[in-house]
Amino acid sequence: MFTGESCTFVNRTDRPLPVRFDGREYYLKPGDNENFPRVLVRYAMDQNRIMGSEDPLNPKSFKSLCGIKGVHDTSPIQQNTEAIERWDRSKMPGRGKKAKPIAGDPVTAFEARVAEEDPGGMGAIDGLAASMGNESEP
Amino acid sequence: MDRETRFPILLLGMIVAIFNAPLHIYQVCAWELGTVKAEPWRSRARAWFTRRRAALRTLAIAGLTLCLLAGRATAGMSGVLFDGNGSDTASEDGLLKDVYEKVISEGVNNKFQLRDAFKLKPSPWDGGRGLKWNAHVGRNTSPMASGEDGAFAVADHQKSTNGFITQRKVMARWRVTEEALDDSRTSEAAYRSVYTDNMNRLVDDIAYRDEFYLGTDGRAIFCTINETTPSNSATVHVKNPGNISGADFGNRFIQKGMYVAALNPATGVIRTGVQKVVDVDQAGTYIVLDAAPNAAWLNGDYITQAANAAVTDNLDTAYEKAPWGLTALIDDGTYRVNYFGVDRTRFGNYASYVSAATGALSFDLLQRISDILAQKLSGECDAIWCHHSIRRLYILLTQADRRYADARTLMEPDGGTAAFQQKDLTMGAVNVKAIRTIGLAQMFLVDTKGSDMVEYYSEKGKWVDRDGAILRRDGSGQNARHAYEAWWYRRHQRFIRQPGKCARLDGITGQTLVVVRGE
Repeated sequence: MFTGESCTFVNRTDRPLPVRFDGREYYLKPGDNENFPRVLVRYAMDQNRIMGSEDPLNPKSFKSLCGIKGVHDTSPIQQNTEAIERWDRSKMPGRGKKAKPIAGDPVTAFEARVAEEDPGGMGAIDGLAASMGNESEP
Repeated sequence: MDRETRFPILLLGMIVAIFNAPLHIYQVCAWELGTVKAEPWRSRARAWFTRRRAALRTLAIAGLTLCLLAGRATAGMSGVLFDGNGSDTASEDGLLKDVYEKVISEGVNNKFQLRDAFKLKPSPWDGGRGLKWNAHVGRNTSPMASGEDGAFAVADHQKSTNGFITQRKVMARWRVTEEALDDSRTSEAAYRSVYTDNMNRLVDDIAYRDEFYLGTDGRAIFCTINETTPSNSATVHVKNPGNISGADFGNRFIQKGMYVAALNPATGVIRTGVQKVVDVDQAGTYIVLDAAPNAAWLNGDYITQAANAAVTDNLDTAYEKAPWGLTALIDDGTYRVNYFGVDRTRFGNYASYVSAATGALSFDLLQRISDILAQKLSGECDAIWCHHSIRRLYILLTQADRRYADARTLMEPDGGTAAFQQKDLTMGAVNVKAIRTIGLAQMFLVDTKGSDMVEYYSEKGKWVDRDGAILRRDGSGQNARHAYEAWWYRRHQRFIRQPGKCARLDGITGQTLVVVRGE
């Protein structure tokens, strides 16, 4: 159960976003999430970065798929599927800017299937509400 | 004389020898009290042969001569002496014995890589409620430049907090009947004594389970359910092996034959129903239970080990009873917020640097993390641990820099690296070690010397023998059985005094995961 400050936290995408905190996986439903525990904000934003948006010289400068209403940019957005890493290499000095990606492994059929599934269950935002003291289940 | 000619001679010689052999038959009397010459008809037969021995001998020699001549003629014409059955391994099978291999082929993987790499300094445990530890979490902020007769900063003080370390226990047991012990004592009777085999190998089995605990967060969660309605079928899809985020190889820590329970992840409370695992998917995606689980099991539930089929209480599961491993010790709160009493969200130096959703691996990224460790707590990364699939990414990164340089390597190009012999590659002279039980999309950058890794032991591991025996009689009264049980236990906890000197990469992508069960 979370205590302390809460906020309205926005999932900017149209799909649930996973947030892992203290060993538990939560899902953030698309749109506004009222009474979201502030302690989770850092983890949610960090774990759901917009790929290719991080300043290579400053790990704290990045864009996220979620944010606090009124504080961060909460306009709708989708993940940048073109970027393969967190960094925006165009901001990198020296040879690192010219680094070329080495082909890795494409998304497997299994991963694609899992991503399509609705997370639901106790891991979903309802589960988050339950752990905050609004548990409906005995 | 060829082989075919020799055979009838030997055969006839044998017949003559049999006829000449004495036929003394003795009866061994009851209770071995002496012997009696028995079967008088045999005496009569012998007397008949004795009387006619000379005549029979003449007949046999004549027959032998004839056979020799006939045999030569037959062999010369067709190459076959007799049409009857000769000896071969099929016809003589009754004579042949099984010959037993002296070596037992080892069919389980007893190489524990993480245990070998993750060396902690043993420290005694003095009992009591547990070990209180002091964490220095902040400085006196009063130092300030000041002018003549000017005010200077208000007084401050050192900031400390206390944490608390308790012990975790791992137990194993073995049951054996008297007959199994008796009938396997000698090498003629068994490949190995049942006693020796089970007592020794159980210690390996414990090390195998400990390898799982060593790589995870101490909650002993095998995986989470990845199915909207798990009660629909005995086949339950799973993900997040070791409760580490990831869709692949969800069943990697589960073995056939163990009992599993589902836990509500919000409360940690056990759901109704414990099931036995009867099979595990070789592709890693599901487990097969002995029956469809109770409807109380839900998507996202933790799967943990239960002691038996009748368990209804968390106490009888492994949940939150395992010694802490890497994802708890080297963490920023993603897996363990409460670090032995210190809140990682408040005291950042007890949080390791974690790069979430890393994406592609790069040398630049590794260098930056090394720099972050040095800036944060003067950490010096001296070991890098990752799964084999991540090491292959690392090999890919070095590929462009590897060239066939001289004439010999041009003629005999070697397409591999030291990793082919499972030796370590290096990053800035730091070994990159591949470990099969570590998180699949993770990489740990560890300062093994500076982070002060400790293992508190109240018991390093022994057979329970406080009542005077390792093998204890099983049951009493109506439940008594002529069998014994042996219990083994280990009680310890792992701790890193300065986890801020270590770092972890999560969510590495681009690797090819080959699902291989190392059981």
